[in-house]
Amino acid sequence: MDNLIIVTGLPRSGTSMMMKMLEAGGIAVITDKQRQADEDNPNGYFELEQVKEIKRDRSWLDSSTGEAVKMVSMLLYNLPLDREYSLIFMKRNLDEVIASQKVMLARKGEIPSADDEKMKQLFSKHLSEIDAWLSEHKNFKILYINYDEVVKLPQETAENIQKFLGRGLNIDSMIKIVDHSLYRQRSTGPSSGTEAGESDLSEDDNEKIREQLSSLGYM
Amino acid sequence: MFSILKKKKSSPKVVVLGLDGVPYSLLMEYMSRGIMPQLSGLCSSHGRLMSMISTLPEISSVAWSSFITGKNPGQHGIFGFMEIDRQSYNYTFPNFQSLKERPVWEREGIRTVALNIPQTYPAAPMDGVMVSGFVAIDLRKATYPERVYNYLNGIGYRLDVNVMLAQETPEAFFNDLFETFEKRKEAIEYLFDNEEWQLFIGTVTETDRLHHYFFDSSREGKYFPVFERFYSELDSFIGSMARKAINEGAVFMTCSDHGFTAIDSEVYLNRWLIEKGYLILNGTDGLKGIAPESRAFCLDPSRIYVHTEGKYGRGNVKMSDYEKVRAGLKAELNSLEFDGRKVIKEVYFKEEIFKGDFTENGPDIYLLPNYGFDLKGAVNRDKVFGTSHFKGMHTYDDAHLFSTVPVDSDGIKIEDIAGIICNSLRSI
Repeated sequence: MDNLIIVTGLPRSGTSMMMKMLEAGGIAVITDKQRQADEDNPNGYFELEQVKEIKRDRSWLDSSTGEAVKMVSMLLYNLPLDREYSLIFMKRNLDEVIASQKVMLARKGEIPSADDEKMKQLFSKHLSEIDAWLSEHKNFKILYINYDEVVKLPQETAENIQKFLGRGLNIDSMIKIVDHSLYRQRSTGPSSGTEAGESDLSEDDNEKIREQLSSLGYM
Repeated sequence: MFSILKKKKSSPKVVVLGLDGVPYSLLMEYMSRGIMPQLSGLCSSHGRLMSMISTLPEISSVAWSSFITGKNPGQHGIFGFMEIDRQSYNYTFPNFQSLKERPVWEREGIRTVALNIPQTYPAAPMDGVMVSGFVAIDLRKATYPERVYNYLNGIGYRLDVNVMLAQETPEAFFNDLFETFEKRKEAIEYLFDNEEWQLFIGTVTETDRLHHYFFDSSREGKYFPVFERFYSELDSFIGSMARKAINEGAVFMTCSDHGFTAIDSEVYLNRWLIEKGYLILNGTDGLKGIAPESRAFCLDPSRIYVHTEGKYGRGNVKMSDYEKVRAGLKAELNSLEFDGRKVIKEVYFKEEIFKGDFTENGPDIYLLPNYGFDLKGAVNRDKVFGTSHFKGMHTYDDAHLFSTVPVDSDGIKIEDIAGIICNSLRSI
């Protein structure tokens, strides 16, 4: 019986992209689709609401084998240690993680709870602690993947995942997911170039841009 | 003056100094007149200066997008600084997020510092540093990562020159130009010295600003001393950056995104379309008032779009008539004259100049003017020809490339530079 595959890491470290890659590779993913796709994750979040409640309800784990589920690394401590897991742990440059989180918060009209340096310290501490904790428990078979590696070397990454899981995967489809995910904000199809709404800038920003362009003879 | 430098053996690196709108012919002339001795020395001992062609349209947003991606506009999807929404006819402004192709540093995994490259706003997280260029309006949004923002904010970095001053008080504009250039140089040198990179791109855009307003003084005239001083300082900076690059064992290049020439007359193409019966505008709100009977309209600088049914909310030209409309426009535009001079050098259909998945978003017709005729997409003019405070216009040819690595200069164009960068990083 195959282990449950858990895709984990900090929020905004590429876990949704990895879930999408696994799905494209042919692995069943567990998600309730409650959290809808949005600008930050247009392909969807691949989340299971029950994961957040794992401390109280672990029943869903019993029926899950060989499938993939997403779980932020802070929740790993709550996993029951009476079984084995295959963990794909996404790592990403913390400056990028924080920048991406800020963009997402800004879209929601929220502000970060701590400054960048503080957040970096907290994340760094958490990652050290969880690494240590995982190394102490033999239930976890772990593949660490850097977000940068996925972006730069999608084929090698997909092949490493295949080797790690010991299952045949559709490597070509997995590679295509990387390209698509990278360009999610940029590429929406040939017909969209002059459609409204492709810019993240505000109306006020656009007005200033219009003035700048006018000053150089455009418009 | 460069031969005494000791080259370091290190990992492959490339340094590109972007010089927005600096023509090959102007550099050649300034070298021969002794205004640019450092560049002259570099050409004698370390590399070669060559003429290069830009993109069509020959404007910064398109050309620099081709520079960073190595792709044609039909592939990277940027055709101008503005587009219109096909339903509301409101202007929209493509930005860095609109780019459909990955920059070479992202595609090839090259740690890069990219400062002041037009059409890279807002800055996105990357492996390295991004400081966006024109049309950046907010330094924080223009900078990644935040520590670089803190540095730039601390030195009083300037995103751009206040060009509005040029229309009112040229002296104030010149002061602003030199101050902005000082900050630009300071930031470029700081990031060069303090960041880790394989590819370093620092772009000077003050050149383009000076040219737009005063290019008629670039060789002689009232403001020539300003050009002389500016290019002399630029020459020193080129020399300084070349020394730094060579000392790092890096390939060194300078390039421009287009050439420049003086304006004889501006040409307002939407007015021409109105007079020829192709465009009917109701009210005073520009293209937002386009009438369904309109068959074509123009966006800057000379992008002509056929107002087709299905593609545009009020479009009425049936696809069966599309070729007829294009052929009619081509014939009439080819005969457009001003004081006995032919205005349009080439009338291109989109499929002749664009290739790639996003060609469909490009203009149906693109016009390349003869030197001196600055084609405009303005909608508020009552005559086809006129003049303004602008004295310089972009050219498709006469951009430049200087490179310390051998480059096949035959027909070289700006989108070839990305490949030269990659080859250099692989082969050093």
